[in-house]
Amino acid sequence: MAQVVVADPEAAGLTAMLAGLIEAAITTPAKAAILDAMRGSVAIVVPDAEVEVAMHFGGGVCRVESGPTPSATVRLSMPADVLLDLPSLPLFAGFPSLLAPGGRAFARRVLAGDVQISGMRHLRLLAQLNRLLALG
Amino acid sequence: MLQFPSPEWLAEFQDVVNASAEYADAAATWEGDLVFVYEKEPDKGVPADVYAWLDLWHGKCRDAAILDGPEDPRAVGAKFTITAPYSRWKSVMKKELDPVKAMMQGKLKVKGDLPTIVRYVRASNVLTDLTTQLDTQFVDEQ
Repeated sequence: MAQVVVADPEAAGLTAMLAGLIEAAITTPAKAAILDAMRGSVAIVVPDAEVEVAMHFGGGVCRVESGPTPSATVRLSMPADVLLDLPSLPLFAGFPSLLAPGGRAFARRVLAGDVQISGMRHLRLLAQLNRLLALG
Repeated sequence: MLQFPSPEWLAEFQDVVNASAEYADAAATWEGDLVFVYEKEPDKGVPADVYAWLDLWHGKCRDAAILDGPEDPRAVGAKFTITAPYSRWKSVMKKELDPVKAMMQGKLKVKGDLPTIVRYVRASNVLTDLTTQLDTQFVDEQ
């Protein structure tokens, strides 16, 4: 059964926010099924806020922890405002849709280098994460 | 000049919120009350935690009050609570601290439905920006 574990129960900030978002998401069976299928680690780096959080997926569990995780399967780096906009963007095939203004704005930030993604070959994990966090 | 924090400051803030077209747009579908907790800093003139409650509904602030404390039913039942020491709020109001980054760093502690908070982050930013429009006298700067 899908569940979220926070490594440090006293964690605040982005760690608590991501854990809260995923906990809320998996109350719906479709999102819980997405989490059940996820394997790997995603590190989210927010340089302007100087925070880094990792999410480790496997066995239906998402373990969220603060701090650098160099071994993450996928590493996403983006400014705070872009990160908070991301869950609200309409998706196409698991990625921000270029048909929507928000999706095009996101693509521009990628092209400008504001958003950096490493581990792009793990497209499935990225798409699953986008779908899991999507608020639409 | 209005002293912060005080009921007078909060009443003026309510008027500023209700006059803001930008907030009305950003929070057009927002439903729920919000409590800002200014945590005590006795050495800075804030001897006890201050609970500022705002009843926010569809881009307007219907009511606002300084509550007696955390046991006030409006504080207990608030949909969202944002907590930080008084001096940190002051930094936000002086635009020395970005509220979104502060939330990510855990400097502003957020309690409530996270998906809703993320969805309305622009509205909360506008709300914070509006605090800078008041002619504020901070209690520790008198």
